[in-house]
Amino acid sequence: MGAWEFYLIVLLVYLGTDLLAAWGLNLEFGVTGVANLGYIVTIAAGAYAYVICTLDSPASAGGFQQYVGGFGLPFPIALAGGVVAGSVVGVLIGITGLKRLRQDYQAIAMLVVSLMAATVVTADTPFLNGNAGLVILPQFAPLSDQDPELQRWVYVGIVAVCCVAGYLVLRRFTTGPIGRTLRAVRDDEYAAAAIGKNIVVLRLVVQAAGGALGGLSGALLVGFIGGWSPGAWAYVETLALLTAVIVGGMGNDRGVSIGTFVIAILLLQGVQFLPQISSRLGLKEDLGWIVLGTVTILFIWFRPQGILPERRPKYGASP
Amino acid sequence: MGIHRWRPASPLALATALVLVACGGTQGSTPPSQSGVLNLGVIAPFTGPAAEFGTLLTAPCLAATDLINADGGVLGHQVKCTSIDDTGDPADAVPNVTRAIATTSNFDFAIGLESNTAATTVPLVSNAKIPFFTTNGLTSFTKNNYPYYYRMTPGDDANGAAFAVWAVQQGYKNAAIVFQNNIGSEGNLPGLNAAMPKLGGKIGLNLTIPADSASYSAEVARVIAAKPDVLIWSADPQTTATFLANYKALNNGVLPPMVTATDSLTPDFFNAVTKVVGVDYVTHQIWLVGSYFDQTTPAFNTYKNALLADANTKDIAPVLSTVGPPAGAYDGINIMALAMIMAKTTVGSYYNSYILQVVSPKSGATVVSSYADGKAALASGKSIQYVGVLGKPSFDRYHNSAGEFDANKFNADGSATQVGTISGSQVLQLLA
Amino acid sequence: MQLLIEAIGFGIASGAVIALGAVGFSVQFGMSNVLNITYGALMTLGAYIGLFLIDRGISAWVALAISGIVVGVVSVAFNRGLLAPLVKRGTRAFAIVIVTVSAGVVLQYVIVVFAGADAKSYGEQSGQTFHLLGMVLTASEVNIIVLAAVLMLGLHLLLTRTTLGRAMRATASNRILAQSCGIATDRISDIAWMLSGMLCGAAGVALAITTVSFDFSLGAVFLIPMIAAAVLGGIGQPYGAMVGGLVVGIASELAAAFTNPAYREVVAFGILIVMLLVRPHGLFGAAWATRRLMA
Repeated sequence: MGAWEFYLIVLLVYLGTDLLAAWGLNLEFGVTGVANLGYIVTIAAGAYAYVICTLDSPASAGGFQQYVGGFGLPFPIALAGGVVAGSVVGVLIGITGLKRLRQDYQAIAMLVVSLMAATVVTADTPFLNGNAGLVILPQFAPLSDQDPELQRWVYVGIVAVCCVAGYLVLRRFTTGPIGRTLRAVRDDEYAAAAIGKNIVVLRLVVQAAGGALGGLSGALLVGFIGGWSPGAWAYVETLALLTAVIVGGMGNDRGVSIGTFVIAILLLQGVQFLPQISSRLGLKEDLGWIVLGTVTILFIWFRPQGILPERRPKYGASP
Repeated sequence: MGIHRWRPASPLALATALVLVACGGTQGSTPPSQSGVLNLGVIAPFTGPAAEFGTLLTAPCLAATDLINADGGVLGHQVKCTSIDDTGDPADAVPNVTRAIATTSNFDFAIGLESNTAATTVPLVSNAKIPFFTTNGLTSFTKNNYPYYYRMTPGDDANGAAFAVWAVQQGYKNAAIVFQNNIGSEGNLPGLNAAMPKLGGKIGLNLTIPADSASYSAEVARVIAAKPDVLIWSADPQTTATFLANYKALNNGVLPPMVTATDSLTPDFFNAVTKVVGVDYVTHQIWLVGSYFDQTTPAFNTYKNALLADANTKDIAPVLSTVGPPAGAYDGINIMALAMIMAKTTVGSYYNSYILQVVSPKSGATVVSSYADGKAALASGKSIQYVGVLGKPSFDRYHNSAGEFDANKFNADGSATQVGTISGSQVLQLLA
Repeated sequence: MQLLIEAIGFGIASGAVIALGAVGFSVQFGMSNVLNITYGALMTLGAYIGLFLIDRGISAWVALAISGIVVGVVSVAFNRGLLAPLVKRGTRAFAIVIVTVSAGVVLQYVIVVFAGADAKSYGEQSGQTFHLLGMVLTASEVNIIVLAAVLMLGLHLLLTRTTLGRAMRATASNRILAQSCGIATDRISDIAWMLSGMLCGAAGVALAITTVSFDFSLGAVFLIPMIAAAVLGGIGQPYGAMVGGLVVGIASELAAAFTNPAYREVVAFGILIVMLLVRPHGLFGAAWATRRLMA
């Protein structure tokens, strides 16, 4: 397999998993207005759940990592485990947001939840191997008994299928009666409650769905790259995702996908192709963060509705 | 919506593509040749919390390639160090490394692949058939099956046991173990815990602390209460400085002697700690234990002179003169280059099988300690055995060579001097 | 028992620094209704300006004052240039938080580009310690506790006893009404940002002194305990920030002393979450500030 081919596969898998994560976040934030700055924890939960489902018990897997679980389950079930874990974590995070706090306070609360999760995982080594993270040994990788070329393209296919499924879930929530209800909740919660919509249940269902998409994203990614550690889910990852949502256009599925493409691929990968400007190593990446932050500010300043703004449906004559 | 883009090509097209690929490539019996400059990848963090390792690993690359290029290159090709940022994040490392593999021409060898990201980067580089000498210390690679993987640095658990050996050798009986909760330190702990009791030492307190806190007074109070006679320590410069400042304040200005890893043999650590507790403590009471090498060997002189000669590396040459992993990287580059000459090709999949032959002892072999000597000996038809800065490597079947350990102390200018050695076999015994 | 008392002492010392930062943050939020996450990066800026000055031989107190003034000016500019216009346009609160987070990231990395990413320090401490009732405090810690108390008292008196303070509270409470009473609300806003910015810069220097060794992530790391303290004490209320700071500081030190030290941070996080869920307006929330917490 040529190196360019493999790079393409990597980009496709990363794009697919980034899309799933962005759609989940869009569901929670863009459509329902839940400011979930702790979204990255659902992705991490999915990844970790996948790993502990896939590996055998710690001792029989080599004894060099400590973790709970180790069930030795096949790929589809481990993937489902990731989805469920993401979902559960999503609901738990959502409970912290139920109190009708102002949106920015809520955002900080959720951010703090993600920081707490990171601290607990790194502090408690027997739980998920602390900072060293977990490694999926090659023999546990999905389809590992197949020819590697085939294995990788089939994996891209699996990611693609999951993206289709995820997109359908997203559409279900953003269009049709459920979508309208969610927008009503976002735009005027009291009115929505006044006409009998059960806000609490709806919010939690959305958190579960968004978390499920996040968990799926994490599980698919870790199945491909073979390892996961706290370094992979620092809270700045949610920032990058949020920028994607804002840049692409909140509440708009197409826009969010474009935003993800722009940020994840063009900006973050494109920065790597810049020539080495000075002798100071790491300058490129520092500049990358500065650019990302500036782009976000500029977008909110000039075009808060994003590249493709949400298309508000029209319901007859305006008041 | 472009969802349709993401479905794979139809099965027929896919099958056709596979057949074409299979029939297209053949492996002839003559080794292929490449043209142009050879690229040596330095896969390390250049950003993120471990960013100083990027610079530390680029230096031995520059030293080795300066010497190789001055001697006419490898098989007529010049060699260039190419930095590949692994960001310290195992997920972000993957696209960077795969892109580098795709876009870098003649990417024939690599060094680095350190602990934070090795879990995801080692498979990538080995599957791309690029031989590499890694500097990670993860115990997960103690038994591995990657054919292109080579490691001349000890695992973290062996390092931990070496701490114990040194502390007990110095006569300390009651240790307080305080580690930051990062990868390397967590890896040291099992070895340390296993070795201490076997050597008759006591562990008075075992504490893991978070990084970069404003104050460690509460933790310091706990350590003081355990009345240790030595502090076995591992943490980043900032954490160390804050902790020691708090300790000094709470213990009437008295600080315990410290045993830490040679990972801390960096300008950042020296500067941060000296500025806060003074140079006297740093030069007299801190031991840094890690991979050993003999500074009297000819290989060492060649290495050191090369570092001093290059404007980009001469400032950190004193520090690098005592730290194992970069020296291991330097040796690894020479070994790979000599293997290329023996295989008469620079392509990884061909010269990989010669790597172990470069260092294996054989009767009648000329012992060489630099690339230039090895190249000359091979040119006159002799067989060679490369003995480098880290001495004679002895690779086990997993391509790991643990080597010996030593203890160092800081000098007033931030460089370090070796003050003692610890036997590698003793350490391995303690782990068993 | 000894450890318990010592831990409380450490908590008071770290609590004072947290309180110093929390007060500025709290006043800013009370005045402008904006959750200013850039506050963390501005504290870092204060710390680095202090470093720049101290490295050139200027005394720590003077450096603190100068840092405060510089960060105050930068804060005013930041509000005038970016935040106030966005608020005026009706940008949603969450988008503004994102802007402040992004601005914080940009400022932080600009500092890295100019000053480098390695650990910095103001230098060796005097080593003099005081023993009070079983607690051990260093000279710098005592200085900072006194400074925090004085600044807090000063701010409280300003807000409650002076015309300026009354004008500030009026503007925060109801801007339109204040304008119709003839209060120059824009200028009052600037003054509030200047004052809170000065507290921010001073907190940055105090933090750098307390933590002895720091890098560019200084402010970002401390922001959460400070927000926790501000929320616990009650937004807009200086005395509340002091109490909040002490509680957060002492609780963190107790966690470090008696459990896994890595949980010392989790304590601050936990306090914040619990307060937000249970009693968002805090223990002493100032009436003029807390109305806008709820959606």
